Amino acid sequence: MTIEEKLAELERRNAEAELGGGPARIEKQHQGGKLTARERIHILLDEGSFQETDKFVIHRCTNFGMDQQHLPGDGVITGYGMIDGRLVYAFAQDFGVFGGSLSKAFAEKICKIMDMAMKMGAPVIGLNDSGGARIQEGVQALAGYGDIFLRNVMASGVVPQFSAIMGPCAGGAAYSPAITDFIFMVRDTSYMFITGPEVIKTVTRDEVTKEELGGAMTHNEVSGTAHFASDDDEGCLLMMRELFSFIPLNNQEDPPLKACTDDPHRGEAALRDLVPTNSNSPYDMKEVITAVVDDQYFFEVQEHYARNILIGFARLNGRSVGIIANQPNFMAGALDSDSSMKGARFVRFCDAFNISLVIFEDVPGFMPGVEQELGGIIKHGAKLLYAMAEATVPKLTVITRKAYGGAYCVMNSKHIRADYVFAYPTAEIAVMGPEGAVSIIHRDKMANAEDAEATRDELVADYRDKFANPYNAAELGYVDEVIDPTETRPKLIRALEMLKNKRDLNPPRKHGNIPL
Amino acid sequence: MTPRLKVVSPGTLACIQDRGRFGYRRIGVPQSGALHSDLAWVANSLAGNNADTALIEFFFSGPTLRLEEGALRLALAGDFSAELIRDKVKRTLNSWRTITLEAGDTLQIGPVMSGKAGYVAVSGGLDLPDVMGSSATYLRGGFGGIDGQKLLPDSPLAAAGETLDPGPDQQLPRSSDLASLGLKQSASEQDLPTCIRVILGPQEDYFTDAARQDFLTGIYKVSQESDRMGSRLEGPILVHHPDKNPEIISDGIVPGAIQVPGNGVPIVLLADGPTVGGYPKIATVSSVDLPRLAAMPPGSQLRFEAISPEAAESLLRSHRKELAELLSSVEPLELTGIVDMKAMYNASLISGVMDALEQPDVFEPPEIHP
Repeated sequence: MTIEEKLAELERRNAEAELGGGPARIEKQHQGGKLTARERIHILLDEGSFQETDKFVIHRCTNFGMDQQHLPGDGVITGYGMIDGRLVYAFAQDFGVFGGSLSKAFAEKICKIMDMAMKMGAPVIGLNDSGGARIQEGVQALAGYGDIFLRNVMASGVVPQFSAIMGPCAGGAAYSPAITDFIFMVRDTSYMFITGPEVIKTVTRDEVTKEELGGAMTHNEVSGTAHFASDDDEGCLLMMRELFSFIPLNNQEDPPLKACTDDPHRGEAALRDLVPTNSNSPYDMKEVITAVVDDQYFFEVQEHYARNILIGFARLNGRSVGIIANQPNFMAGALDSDSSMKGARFVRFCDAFNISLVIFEDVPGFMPGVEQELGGIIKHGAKLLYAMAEATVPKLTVITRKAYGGAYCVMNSKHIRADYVFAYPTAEIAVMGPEGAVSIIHRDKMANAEDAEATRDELVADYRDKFANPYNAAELGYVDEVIDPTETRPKLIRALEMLKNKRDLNPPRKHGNIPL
Repeated sequence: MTPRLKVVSPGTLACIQDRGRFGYRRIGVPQSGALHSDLAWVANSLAGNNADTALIEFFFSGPTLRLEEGALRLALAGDFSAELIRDKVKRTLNSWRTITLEAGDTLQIGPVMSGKAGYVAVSGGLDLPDVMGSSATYLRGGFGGIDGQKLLPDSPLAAAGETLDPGPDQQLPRSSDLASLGLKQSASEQDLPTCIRVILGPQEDYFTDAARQDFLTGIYKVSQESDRMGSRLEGPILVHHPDKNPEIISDGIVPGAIQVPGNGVPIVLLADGPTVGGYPKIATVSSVDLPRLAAMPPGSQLRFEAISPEAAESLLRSHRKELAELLSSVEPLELTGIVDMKAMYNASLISGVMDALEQPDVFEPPEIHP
């Protein structure tokens, strides 16, 4: 055989592998409003950067007629490439090949790039679109899942991991994305659940559709399992590229700096009026955040879930920061179980990947309710406290208004290692609100007063004057600076600059015991 | 032992109603009774009661009730769900079913999703005094029901009878088309004006032709000023005929009469409406559509269509027949949300496994429910 003939053979094999399940299956994928695995990879990565590994891998199963059926690649495309010129490993499950079902060989391909990602210190992105475990492989398919799960766990906090759900993701398969840092879902074409509608109907007789059980909005709004929802495949992949731009490649690296064209000294007069002087009025904390960050750009994470807390990424003078903020517009910004968990997981991601934290605080306390207490708000709220206290990245706090009770301690107070705490003149840092405090301190005085209401109003006003302000805390050094809200942006940027070389360590230990 | 319900929270506006108080209009006593009489019928029927048994009517958010002692079956009718708290565990129940409460159970009812009214019937009825042949509450008059008042925290609500073993809970078949019977509205219907059929008169000649035309072609909106007595409508102003006096010698009024005072703004009089009035009535709402109209929340849109009295009677007859058919199809409740332990041991609990050779067709987008 001449070299020309050998090259022709290689070309033939490449072409065969690149065709996946064949033109008919590709057409069907498109008809379903979905892109093929290969098209997805090309949108996700910089043009021409994708290098494919294990293109010719085939399964080794001989049961149930599988020895007659082989397709090169075996249903998953794996390899590496670039996003904005930065290295990333990726796999895309190919629904067109054996329904994207997972075999041992399929899993080994994924494991191979995950091992490389760990060694080279680069993120892993998984695009999921699979009917599930390949039944012909039996327990070998489970072994494959187990191998992937282990690598997901080992990579957690070492390299960032993103998952997109772009088709079915059912049963045990859902646990791989679940361990990764961020889950993206596509509306109307994706779902994920552990047990599907049919099994549920058998066991509880409940009738539920796949969409209700595990569609994009179910997981973005109700269960909080997913972090992003997009209208189509392309939107989903572009959003993944966007998120990628905020984070470092691994836990040893700082997040990328982006050239900043927004004046770091920019004052924002509008901030003076954003926080209402009436401490009981709602306002949109998102407006405060966007007024402060570079180019007014706040990349929100989990925007539909537990809306009483806001989390997301932004930049300050080109430097990525993770933002956590109470949202007074929703349930007065009180912390409940869901918002505590949402905040805690985000804080831990940022801390693991050296992303500084900026907290905007306006919290009246924890959410009262029988449901909350019975649902374990103690242990869930403790997660946020634990995560905030444990974090060693630069941690800044801006108290815009209320900072009351235990929630004050939790929201990155000086006492749990905040590096720098700012307060607006509108801040009310106190053990509780004036009305509540007066009813305890002056119980006797009010009981004996002739005009109970007038006495109460007087005492409340007096308490408000004395304690519902930032100065008590500032006198004690719990607030580093009381600032004019206009100056928030330059003040935060200076503080981050000052904290650039911060080094802080937790005591050596196998691992802490966060109240899960 | 007589089962007693404790009103933990009364909801927005709940009171006791039944079919109404008949035979006293001549002394100025309004009819009263359930605004959405069809829903009340459904609730009583599910509870195994006569259609005229007194029950709880509520608007918007419903009451929270706790059963103090005994066991008691309640029936829920209306477009709402309820939370049952039993042994500190909360469970969501759909409406259109009965729920047999055990002592200590708490039932949080509502809010109503379409329309504004919901009904809770008690199997065997409630222990209430009879005032002029009815237990319906007439709030303005301060009689009937429980001391003539709306439901209040700790209002006494004792069942009329002893606790019997009522057997399994009942439900309307899940496939029932409740929207076509006017018992609920789908989300898409809520945005469209509801068609309300009326019989013109008795004083339609007191209005200009243009006004009569506007009345039948315009879109009206139920205003904030609507209660058990009547609903004021917002929409085209109806001009009285210049040759006629905008006031008439007072005559009798029935629920459903659309009275138009001098300002031209129509008011639909309802169950607690006055027995006589001095404004001309442009039309009267057909009995078949009155329940639906009476329970429309403020902001809902409607338009009127004129029909003949004969047509109205025949519509009512066939509507009642359909409703009766629905109520005769009540079936034992299909238990959902409860784990079938036999299935836990015997059935496959695994999802997400597939045959690679089945060559699945491309994944079909899941059904989307509004």
